[in-house]
Amino acid sequence: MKKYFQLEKMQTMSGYLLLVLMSYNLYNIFIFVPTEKTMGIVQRIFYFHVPSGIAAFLAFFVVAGYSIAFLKTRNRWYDRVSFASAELGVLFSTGILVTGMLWAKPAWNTYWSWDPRLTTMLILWFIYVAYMMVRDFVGDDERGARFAAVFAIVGVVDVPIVYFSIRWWRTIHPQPVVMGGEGSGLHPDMTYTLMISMLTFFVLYFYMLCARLRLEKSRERLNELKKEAALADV
Amino acid sequence: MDSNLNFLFISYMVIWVLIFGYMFSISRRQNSLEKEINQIEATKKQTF
Repeated sequence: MKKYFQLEKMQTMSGYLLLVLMSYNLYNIFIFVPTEKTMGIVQRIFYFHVPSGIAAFLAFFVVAGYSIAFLKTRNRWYDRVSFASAELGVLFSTGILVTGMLWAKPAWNTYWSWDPRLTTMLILWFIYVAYMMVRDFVGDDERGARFAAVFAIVGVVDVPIVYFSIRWWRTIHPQPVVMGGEGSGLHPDMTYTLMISMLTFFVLYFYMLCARLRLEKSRERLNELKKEAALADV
Repeated sequence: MDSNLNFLFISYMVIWVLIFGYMFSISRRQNSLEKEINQIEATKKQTF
């Protein structure tokens, strides 16, 4: 019960921070940042597209980290954190895939191309949708949770493949603009806006994770109550 | 230019719909769980 109230407090605090950051982020994206010369106004998708992807990667690393912790300790709470983070990872991945498709149409004149970056990202999305389906199917079964944890750890291998795909293979996807090496780079105002947007998405991830974990806590409490009620009946 | 503005608008809408849709789904699930918890606790109090 103590953990539930801690989560509630953290969610409220991150919610206030998120409100400030989100407003500032929207101001930056639509008013402050200069319009990119080649692509024009549609380039502003970038400030939600990239942070969505980074938040998804973070979520999947959390899934893998907590899955390892679960396999080591058999603490079911770690398994629940993994499941919650996977849900968020899939949500942010859906965001990056859809905004990417909408950006691709004016930029490449097609919504989808079987390009290495897009294909590996789609595979990552399928891996964690499959993980969620497995996790949902096995319910509270300990063996099933262990199987899902192994699946999640193997799945995270695709994250660096997605990230490096544009360096390893020929692609129509733009090369990295941050830490991309020679010839890459952004206008300082664009870099600043991107960084603020990334921070906003990290706080958003944390806020939603707290909300999702409170749900898990309530589910735990309900299961306890049901067990107690069943014992009282006996 | 105008058609590109549509793509920008739809992209941002997608992000907002995903965020609010997910938060709405969490709050619905949370409410339903809390309702069930309260019901069981009330029954427990009546019984003992």
